[in-house]
Amino acid sequence: MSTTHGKLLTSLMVTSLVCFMALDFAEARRGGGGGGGGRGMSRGGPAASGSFQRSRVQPQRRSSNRNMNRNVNRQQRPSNQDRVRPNQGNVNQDRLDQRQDNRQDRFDQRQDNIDQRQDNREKVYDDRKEYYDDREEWYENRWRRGAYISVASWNSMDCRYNMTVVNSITYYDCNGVRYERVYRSGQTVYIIVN
Amino acid sequence: MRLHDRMLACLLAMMFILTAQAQTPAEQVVEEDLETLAIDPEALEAFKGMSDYLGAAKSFAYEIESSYDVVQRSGITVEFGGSGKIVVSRPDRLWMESSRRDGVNGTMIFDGENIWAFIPDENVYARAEQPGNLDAAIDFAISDLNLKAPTSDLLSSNLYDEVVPKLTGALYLGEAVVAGVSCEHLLMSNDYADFQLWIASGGQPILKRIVITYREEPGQPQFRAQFKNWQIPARDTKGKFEFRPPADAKRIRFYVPAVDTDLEDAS
Repeated sequence: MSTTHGKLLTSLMVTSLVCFMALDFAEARRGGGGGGGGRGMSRGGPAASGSFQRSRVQPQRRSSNRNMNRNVNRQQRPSNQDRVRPNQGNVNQDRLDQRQDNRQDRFDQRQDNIDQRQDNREKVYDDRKEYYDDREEWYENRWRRGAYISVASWNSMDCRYNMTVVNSITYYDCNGVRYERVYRSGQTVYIIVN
Repeated sequence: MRLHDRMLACLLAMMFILTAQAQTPAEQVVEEDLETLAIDPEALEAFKGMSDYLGAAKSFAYEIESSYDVVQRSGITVEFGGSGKIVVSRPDRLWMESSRRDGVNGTMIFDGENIWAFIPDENVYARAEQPGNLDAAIDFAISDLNLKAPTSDLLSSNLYDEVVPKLTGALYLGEAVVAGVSCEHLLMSNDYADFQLWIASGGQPILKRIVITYREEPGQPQFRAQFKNWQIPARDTKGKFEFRPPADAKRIRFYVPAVDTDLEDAS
């Protein structure tokens, strides 16, 4: 009984090891744990955003280094013509090598595409960062002119406003500030007009 | 014996978990396709079917339940949403009604000459002149008036030609059932966003669901909408596109910002 369990245990451990290796291999193919294409089909996790966040902090040169390494690898990989095989007449071996080359080329191409997209994302991020910085500055200046408050905020101001109509436009004067009620993105807000 | 039994149970549990986590070959194939971001003709064909079907419709109507993420300054993502009804009559009529989850309701109408926005609960309306066709009016409403018109992409009379040249990827992901309707599930990508479409299979290739992921935006916020009650052609449109403000309604102006003002309330 004990011997049977022992055998079963051994075979299960071997199976587990195989499973681990298979998963590691699959993970490696996806680009080292979420860096590459795994994000597209993730069903319940932040895989996609995880890759995005990583690219945000990833230095530009890192992807360039990867590109360089791959190019070097490509150059170093011998072509079919350059290869010397023990059995030159082995057609199957030629086909196998050809398929291997094709696979490698496709893999390299995919990696290039991924790096290109990553570079694009980094550029877009930089542009957006600049945009947000500009917008932040603009936001700070908004208080001086053109700021707006919601209807709820307006109602909570407990202000006895005076209404003034100028060129058919109604203005609301409250504590020395002039407001106009306007339509903004599906709701009304009060903008400060002076 | 007991130790063996425990180890056996642990290993079985571990194997079960690992097996459950392992991806099917089909999923891995799709992953590789996503890496290359290929343009899949099957996906384009399904998309063209929907585009042609909607583009040829003289009028149509649909309802949506939608939600979208907003990444706050703190980094926390908050979901907002609501429902809407849209009625289109080409070439130059549009009626949209929206109900937000926070209780704000509104109506937007394009009558061929003007864009009207009406908030019945506050009895206020705004009007902007915009003579022209529907496509131009929507562009004006979104770009110049800063109005929100979710799913307005669908209202284009030439959706396929507008979208496809800018695609960086398109994949046919397979069949899926949405709200009891068999659909073609597509994933498309351009420089701005990734968007998944579920287009009904069969003779009426209407959109049943859309998920847009703005992958370049911080937090990768999504827009999601489920479509229902499609009418092609639209029924009961008489008088739908004419807006007469209530007698006591107050007219206000559209707030047309000089720059994007998609910011929080300043108060």
